[in-house]
Amino acid sequence: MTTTPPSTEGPTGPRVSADELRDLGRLRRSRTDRKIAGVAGGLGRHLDVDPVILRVAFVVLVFFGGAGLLLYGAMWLLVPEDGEENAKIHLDPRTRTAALLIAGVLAALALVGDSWGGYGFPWPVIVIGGLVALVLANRDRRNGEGPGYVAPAATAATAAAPQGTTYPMAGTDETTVYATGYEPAAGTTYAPPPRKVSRRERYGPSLFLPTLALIAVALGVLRVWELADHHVVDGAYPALALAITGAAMVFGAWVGRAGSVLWLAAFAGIALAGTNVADDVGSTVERPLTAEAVHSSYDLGIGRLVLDLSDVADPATLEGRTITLDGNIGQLRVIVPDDVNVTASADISGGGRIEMFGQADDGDNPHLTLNHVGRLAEPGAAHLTINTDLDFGNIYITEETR
Amino acid sequence: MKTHPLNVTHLTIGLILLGLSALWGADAAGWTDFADSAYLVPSLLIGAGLIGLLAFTLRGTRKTEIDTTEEYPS
Repeated sequence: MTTTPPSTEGPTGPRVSADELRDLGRLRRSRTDRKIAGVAGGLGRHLDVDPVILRVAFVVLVFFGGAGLLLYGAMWLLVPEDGEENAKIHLDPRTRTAALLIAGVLAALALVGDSWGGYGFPWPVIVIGGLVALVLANRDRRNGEGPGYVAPAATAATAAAPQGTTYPMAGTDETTVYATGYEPAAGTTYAPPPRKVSRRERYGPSLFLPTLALIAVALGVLRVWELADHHVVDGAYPALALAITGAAMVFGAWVGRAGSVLWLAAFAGIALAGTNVADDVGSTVERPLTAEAVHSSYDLGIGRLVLDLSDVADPATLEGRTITLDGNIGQLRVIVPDDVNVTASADISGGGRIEMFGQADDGDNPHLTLNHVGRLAEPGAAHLTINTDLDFGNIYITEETR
Repeated sequence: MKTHPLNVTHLTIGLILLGLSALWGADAAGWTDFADSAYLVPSLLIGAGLIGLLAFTLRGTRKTEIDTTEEYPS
């Protein structure tokens, strides 16, 4: 690795300025301070924080919807190593910055909660993010590695740097020199293309604008449909947009250029994930009046979910039923009738507190299983099983009081 | 309408996006037993991937028959 020398004054004061922090084009994976791919080492140097903190953060975030995995993977693929200008997926610095920001947004969404009810892992977000990266990589390869391509020349400052000299990275105004060096373009043996054929000429027009227009029309029609007193759930809008982008990409496999349509798909996917998260957030009280109205499972994203069974008119018909309550963050509360017997289990994987029929457990991973005999249960009374599962928060299972 | 040689990447991605929207639709329509299956998304990826591989193989066969002159010297 070869770098320019620091300024003659040397680094003084704060080692990393705000502008340098924002300039993600400078970010490099560390070759020397690495456990896996040097991501945390390089990021720590860029942010001027201890890489150990970042390593711990990455690991912890893996368990929050895979956010750590997504971030680490994106940086591994997109950020070059020290002394390199090309990453595994090579993008120009501006596009790389945009791609890293997209990865950050996707990771944040993954962190907020499960984006697709029931899967527990944000597959759609991961898939769409990966697809964006794939297309960006393909586009970049096509643009940058065509025949006759000449890499940009190194600046005078970097060219004048003493070869083979290494300087500290943090806080300097160093400019990385391309490791491969630069030869005059005249010395290359590339043959010029026999005829310059534009991509439009070869593949046809971009499908971005037609797809955008089609999405606008479709969303408008859906809105009119909704205004005509039909029920439309919020997520239907981004889901429709996502379906149109999918159809456009299939169409574009044979006609026109559909690469840029993936940006629309990314926005639609993020919006759809957002509506799913929003649907899961809040406070819900379920108070079924009959055993038939009692569902076998209830889900909570973030917030509070109360399942009050004390009003069930025919508790005997709960015999043999199993009710499962799953949640991410918040509070699960179950109130059972006092004339049934209950086997209840509760588990909080990420820490919290469980209170169940007068017993309690708390800590990093509290779990409790109890057989409870109803206060007014007679011999042969109905038996109910309740399983509760939460990532963080509190679980309360109590008997009705009357 | 002028067509170009099949772009397998776009075909595969398009199928995945269509599949994801369909899964969301199934979930929103209340087909929870269907939409909650943990196998659905992996199945979607496998299906789209296999179609992409098949298309790639078929395209490769056609390309060698028809077009052998477009590549630049490396």
